[in-house]
Amino acid sequence: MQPVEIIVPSPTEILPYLPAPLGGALGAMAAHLWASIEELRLRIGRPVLAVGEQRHSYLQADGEVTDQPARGMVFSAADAKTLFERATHSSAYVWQQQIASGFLTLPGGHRLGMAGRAVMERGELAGIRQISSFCLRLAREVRGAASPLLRRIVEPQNDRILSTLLVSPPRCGKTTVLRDAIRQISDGVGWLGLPPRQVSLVDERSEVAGCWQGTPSRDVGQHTDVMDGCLKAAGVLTMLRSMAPDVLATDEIGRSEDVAALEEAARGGVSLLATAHAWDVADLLARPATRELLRGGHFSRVAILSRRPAPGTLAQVLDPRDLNVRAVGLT
Amino acid sequence: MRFIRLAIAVLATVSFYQAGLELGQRYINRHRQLREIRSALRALETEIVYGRTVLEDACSRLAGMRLGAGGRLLQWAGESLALGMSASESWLRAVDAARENLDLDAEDLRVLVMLANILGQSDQADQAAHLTMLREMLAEREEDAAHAANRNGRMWAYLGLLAGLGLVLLVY
Repeated sequence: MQPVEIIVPSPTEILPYLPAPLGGALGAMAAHLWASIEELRLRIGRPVLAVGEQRHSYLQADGEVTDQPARGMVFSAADAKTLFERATHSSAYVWQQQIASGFLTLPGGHRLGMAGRAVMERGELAGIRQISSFCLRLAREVRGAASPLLRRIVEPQNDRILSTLLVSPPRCGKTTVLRDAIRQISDGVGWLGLPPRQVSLVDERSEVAGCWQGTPSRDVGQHTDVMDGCLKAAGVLTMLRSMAPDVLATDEIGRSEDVAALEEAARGGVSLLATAHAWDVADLLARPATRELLRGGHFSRVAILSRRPAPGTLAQVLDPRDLNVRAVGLT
Repeated sequence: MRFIRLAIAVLATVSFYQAGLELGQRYINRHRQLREIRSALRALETEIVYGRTVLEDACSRLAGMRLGAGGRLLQWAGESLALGMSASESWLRAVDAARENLDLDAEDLRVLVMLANILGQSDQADQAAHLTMLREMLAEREEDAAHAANRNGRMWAYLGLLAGLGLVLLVY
């Protein structure tokens, strides 16, 4: 089994996007502190909050962290403007679709969530202006994170990979495990005797492969094709037609239109790997899209992830037939 | 001796005429440069709305085309963007360079400066609307420049010639 190796993003991936005071503080930060940060919460007029696995603390101008908000460096309106301009390369129009979805993906797969004044068109969010809050979520690669899962879903004797739905609340490592599973399956899981497979990844939010201008910046394997920034339903059907995958992977399913596309893929004999937000099995079954997929028998396993003892921990692997999906579906 | 005096008189007249021509040429240049800038802004709008090209790439691509003063303006903006400056700073620097190197008047430059507040900072529809508005304003400036070129271009050439002849008459 591949040993777990955590690859912490280099500060140099992030610093070019940050305004000078914030970049200076993070540049001066000790390596162990930097490695512990999962998110930066940036709100105009508020101290910069560094969210780690174990604790929340406020960033000081000298790169240290403190528990006292009054000592934290304050994120200004000018900082917000600079961050937005740099994140969009002074070309907001290029990313208007992502901005309307509330986030941008930076090279390396780091996600910059944003909130501000909504622009509504025909009842839908068409954009965000006067952005006042950012959530910079640092993507980290954990090589070997998917090994416990692969042991449960790869059947080398049958030469198949069981279609699996990865489930957890936010910040439990779904995307990290999915990325590593894609990488290992794509390159071949030697320690399980599985040869390399053709993997198609529909990466609607650019979080898994961290594509920048179409090219993955994260290691998603030698035999992986990525459809980046594409709506899942359209992307899944396109990849099925054009790339003939053995495995089809996608992140964060939940819309009803996703169901039909994944059903189509499953009927074509493609193994599915997907993630879904849910607090627990009951919550998963309460959501129409995931309930429909499980009821259709398109997933052979449901893997529940947990933050304890660390994000990406495989808490449970269930067979959907044991979940009484039909009964739930009828209520 | 008479030949030398004649030569000096001719030289003075030609010099004043050329000075007049150059002053007149600035009016003609301004008209042409405004037209070229309008064309370049239309090309930039196409890159933004249909090409969804990152601003720095759009500027450098258009700078490589034969867009005259408009291409130079985008080249100056693109150079600042490549240094990591914001679109607003880059555009203002480009307008400063235009002030130094082109023949635009203060009102033309004031119109161009307006783009600094919007360039690259909003969605495609908003960018297109502002670029269209700017081109319309520049069209008005271009019309004004055409009248000025007609009115002043020849006038300065004649004034130069007359000034040269007048000086010769006064001296001799």
